[in-house]
Amino acid sequence: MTAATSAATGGEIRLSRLSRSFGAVHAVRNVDLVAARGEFLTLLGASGSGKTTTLMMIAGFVTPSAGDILVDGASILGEPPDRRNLGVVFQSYALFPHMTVAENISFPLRMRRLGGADARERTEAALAMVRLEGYAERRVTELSGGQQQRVALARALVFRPPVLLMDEPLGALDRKLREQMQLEIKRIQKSLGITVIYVTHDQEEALILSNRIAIMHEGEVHQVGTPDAVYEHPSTPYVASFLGESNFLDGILESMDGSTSWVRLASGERIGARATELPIGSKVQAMVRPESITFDASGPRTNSLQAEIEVCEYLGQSIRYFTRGAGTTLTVRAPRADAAHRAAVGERVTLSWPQSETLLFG
Amino acid sequence: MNSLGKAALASFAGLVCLFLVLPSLIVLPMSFNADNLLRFPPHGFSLTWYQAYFGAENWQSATWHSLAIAVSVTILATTLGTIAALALIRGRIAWRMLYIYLMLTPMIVPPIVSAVSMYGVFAQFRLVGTLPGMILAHTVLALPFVIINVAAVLQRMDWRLEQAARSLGAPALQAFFLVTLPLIRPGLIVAAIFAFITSFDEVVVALYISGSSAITLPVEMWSGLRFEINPVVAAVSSLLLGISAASLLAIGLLRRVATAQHRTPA
Repeated sequence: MTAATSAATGGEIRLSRLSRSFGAVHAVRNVDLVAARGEFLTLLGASGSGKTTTLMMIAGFVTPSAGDILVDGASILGEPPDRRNLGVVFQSYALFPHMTVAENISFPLRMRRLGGADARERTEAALAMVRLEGYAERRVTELSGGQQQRVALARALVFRPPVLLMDEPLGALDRKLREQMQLEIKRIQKSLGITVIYVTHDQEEALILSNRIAIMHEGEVHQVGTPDAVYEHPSTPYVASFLGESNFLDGILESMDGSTSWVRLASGERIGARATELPIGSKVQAMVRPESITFDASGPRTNSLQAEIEVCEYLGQSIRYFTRGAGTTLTVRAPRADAAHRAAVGERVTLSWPQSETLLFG
Repeated sequence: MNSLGKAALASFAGLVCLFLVLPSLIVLPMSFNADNLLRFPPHGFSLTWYQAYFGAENWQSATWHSLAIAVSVTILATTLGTIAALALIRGRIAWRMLYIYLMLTPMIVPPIVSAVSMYGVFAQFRLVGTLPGMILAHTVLALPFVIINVAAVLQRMDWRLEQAARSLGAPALQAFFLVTLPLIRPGLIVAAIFAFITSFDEVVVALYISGSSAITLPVEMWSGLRFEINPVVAAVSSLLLGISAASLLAIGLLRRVATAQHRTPA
C-alpha cells in the first residue's frame, strides 16, 4: 500500500431523525440511516427528493432543522465544515482554477500544516491512485472532464478522511467515461476501505456501485437495502416504479391460499401474487416487471392475460413492447430477437409471468 | 446586409465616435499653444504650459492633494465596497433590493445635492477644507461603483469552490483569502480603478468640501478658467486624459483576464 492509501479506515455514519425544512417545504424529513464502516451507501432519488440536501447537511453546508449526525458515535453537528474531516466530491468538481493539479491536491495537506517531503509524497501517491502520474504541474483548466474528476477524487482522499461524500460526481461525464469512472471509484473505495455516501439519480449507477441503496422521495427514505433486495422486493409503488420499469394492475384482494394471494383485476381476470399482509377485500395494485413477462404459453403457477401489441421498440440488447390488455398498457421487455421472431404490431398475444414475480401494494 | 449598407453603417458609427471624442481631444493641440491664450487652432508650438504646470506651486500641491485623496479613496472604497458586495450577494438578508438601491444612491443623487448636504454635515464636524473630509466625501461617491463591479464578479463566482475549500479543512477566512479572493482579483482591480477615477476627476463635491486648504486638481482647474482663462488648464487636461485612457485600457485588459479565468473549469 502506498502512503496515501495506508492507515485509512472507514468510519461509521449515523443519521438520526435528520430533518430540514425551507419555510413550509420539508426538504428532508426524519431520515434515519446508518452507513457501516467501509460501506458504499447510495442515496438514490429524483431531483428534489432531498438526497443532496442530506449530503450537504453531513458535509456541514446546510444546517439541519432537527435530528443529529454522528461519525463513529460522536455528533458532528457543532463542527464547521472545515473541522468535520470528511472528503467531499462535488458534481462540478470544484477544482481551484488558479492552482495546478498538485496545488489542488495538496491544499487539504496545507490546511493541516503538512508540508515538505511528506506532503509531496502523499500528493504523488494520491495522483498515482487516480492514475494521473505526471500531471502534477498541469493547470486544472487544461484537463478533460474525466481527469478533473480524478483530481477532485484525489484531493478529497489525500488527507485520509474516514468518510467520502460524493454528490452526483459522474453527472457531467458521457456514458463510456462514466462507466469507466464507476469501476475506478469502486476499486479505490475497496482498496481504501473508506465509507462512501454517494448521491445519484441514476438507478443503474446505484445498482452497480452500492452495498446498499436508500431510495428517497419527497424528503423521506422509502426503502434501504442491497441492490437486489430493493429491486426484487420494493416496499412501495414509488420504489418499484423509480428503480427499473414496472407495470401496475388495479384489483381487489379476493383470497389467499398458502403462499399465493389471489387478486380479481378490475378487468375481470384473476391473477396470483406473492403472499401479502393486506386484508382480504382490500383494493390492491399488482406490480410486475416488464422483463418477467413472456409471450410463451402458460405453465403451472403462471398468470396470463390476453393483449394486443401496440408499439414495438428495438433497444439493441432487448425489445420493448407496449401492449394493450386488462384495460391498461402493459410493458414487456423481451430479449433481442431477429425480425422474424419478433411479435408484430397489432398481433394478439398471451402475456404470461410467474405468480411469484407479482407483488401487491395496498 | 449589402456592402453599401455596411459601409454606410461603419461611417455613421465613425462619425458618432468622432462626435464623442473630438471635444476632449481638442485640448491636446491647445495645450501646445505658443501664445498665452486658450484657443483653437493653436498658434505655434511650445511646451510653455507644461513647464508652467510643473513649476507652479499651486498646481503641484493640488496634484498631490488629488493623488493622496484618490489613493486613500481607492483603498477605503474597495475594501468597504467588497465587504458590502459580499454581504449583498452571499448574505441571507431581508430587503436585499432595498439595501442595494440605498447603497447605489450616491450614484443617482445629483452631485450638487450630495455636495450641499455633505457640506452641511461636514461643516459641523470641521471636516471642510481637510484631506480626511475630502477622502470621506469621495469614498461615499466611489462606493456604488465598487459595489456594482464586485457584485458582478461575485455573481459569476462558483460558490462550490469555497465550499470545497471548507470541506478540505480551510476555515472561512482562509477559504476566502486562498480561493475566493484570487478568483475575484481582476474584478477588484477594475473596481479600484473606478474608485480612483471617481475621486481623481470629481469637481462638484470637491468645490464645496475642499475649502482653501485641500484644493484638488479639478478644483484648481476650475478656478484657472473661472478667474483667468489660464492655458495651463489645457496642459493639465491633456495629462488627465492620458491617465483616464490608461485606466480604461487597464480595465479592458483585466476584464479579458477575468472572463478567461471564469470560463474554466466547467
